Amino acid sequence: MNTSNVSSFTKAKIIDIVSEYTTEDLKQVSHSDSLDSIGIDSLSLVEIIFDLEEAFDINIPSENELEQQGFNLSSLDDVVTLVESLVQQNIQNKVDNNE
Amino acid sequence: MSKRIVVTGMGAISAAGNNVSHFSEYLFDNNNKLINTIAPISLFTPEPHHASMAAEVKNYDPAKNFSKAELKHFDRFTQFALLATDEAITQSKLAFNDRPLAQRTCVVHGTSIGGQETIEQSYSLLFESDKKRAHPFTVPKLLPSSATSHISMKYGIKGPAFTTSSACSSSGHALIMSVLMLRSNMVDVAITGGAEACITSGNFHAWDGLRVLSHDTCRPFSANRSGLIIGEGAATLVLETLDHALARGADIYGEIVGVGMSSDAHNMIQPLAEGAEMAMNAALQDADILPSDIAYINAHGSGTKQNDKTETYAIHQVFKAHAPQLKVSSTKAIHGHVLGAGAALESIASILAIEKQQCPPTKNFKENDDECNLDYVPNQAQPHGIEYAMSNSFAFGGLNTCIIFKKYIPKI
Repeated sequence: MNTSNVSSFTKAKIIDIVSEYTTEDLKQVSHSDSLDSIGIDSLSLVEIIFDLEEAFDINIPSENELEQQGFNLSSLDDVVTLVESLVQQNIQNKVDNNE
Repeated sequence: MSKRIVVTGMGAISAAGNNVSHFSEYLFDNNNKLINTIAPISLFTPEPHHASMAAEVKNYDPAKNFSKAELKHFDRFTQFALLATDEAITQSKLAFNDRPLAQRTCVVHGTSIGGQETIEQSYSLLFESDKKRAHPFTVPKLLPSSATSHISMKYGIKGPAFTTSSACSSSGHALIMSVLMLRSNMVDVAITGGAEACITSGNFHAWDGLRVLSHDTCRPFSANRSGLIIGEGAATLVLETLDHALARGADIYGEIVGVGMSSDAHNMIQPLAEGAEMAMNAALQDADILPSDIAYINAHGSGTKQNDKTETYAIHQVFKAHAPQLKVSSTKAIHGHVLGAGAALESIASILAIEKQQCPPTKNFKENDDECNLDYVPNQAQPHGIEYAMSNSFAFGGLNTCIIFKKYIPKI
């Protein structure tokens, strides 16, 4: 599986998860729009983070830690970027541990 | 005219000391001489990536305070409740061997969760260690009302006794119910407060999921605040009608002149300013004073992004032009968020503020936040003339309490 396949699989799964929390059709909206504007409030985001952690076996850092690392979770694109980065880190860690 | 209600005893145990005198030293410790109350959790091993800091009661050995037989019945939260109550009742010099007084005294003690340690230990034995039986005292030990029952049994107090549970306002509701029973002439004395001991693995997994726990420390109202720090402990106050206290020559530490309660009717997690405003306005109205009479507010100030800006907004709405003159501090950076014991512990902090004519500081305050623009008494206690102090508690689920304390001035 190359990186772009990983990426498209990840993105599709993220969108599936986020779709559960909004009535907006995520195929019809810009993924750079704020989460608020696509119907995701801060409480839903807490649940989405939990679902993403479970689905991808990742740990999403706290809001303050994310800020320090230069991430924020304002839009769907932000969520995808963060999850992809954490998934890649996981893969890299597993490779390192096997070497 | 409604009966006047006074405080004639106080007891506290928390990360900030094992009695009220130590608590006072922590609150007004301007030289940072005392050890840090917020520290890595020692009661269990947190998961990697999870919050790992808490405000635990320090150097606490249950066996030094209770017998082996008692500990079979006392969850950690009950132990703290009994220790704080013992200090408060000792200070009040009350004894309940006189039957009319025993029947005219109530016990109202709050807790958010109750016997969490007992629940988790029992589940661990049943589900992890494959034990087939739970200890026969598991149920009476874990009940949220267990502490109330043990207080009434220990002192032979036979009037109304019950537990209030409304998350972080539990002991606020306990104090207010006590005040209302005293005013209505149902009782002459109330033993009231709250206790909490839920620094446990299962509970922290649950709190961590909510993403409101700080991973380092509690910085209320500071722009770089990162969430709340859970604490543990208990606080108990002895309340009496003024007539009853004067008749027996009791020492009086303060007066409760106003109580307010409200419900946001909005959301289980997110606070609503309107709910906080209603509780503060109700307390001011009950006290029959003007907003400008309040000199100091011991804020709920949990250190979460949402609470602190909502509470600030609500204070502006209630106090309007007087808001900039108010001293507002959150002592949670000192003792942590003691959940169901918080309102009672912070009530004691408010009474001590009046007694010392000093505002305890908001410790760990580093950066101004545009949405938090009050005088938060940053980092250092400040001398201040305080006749009236207000204590706020705003709980998950939008359950709010507000209590106004007044300096007690004896008639000469």
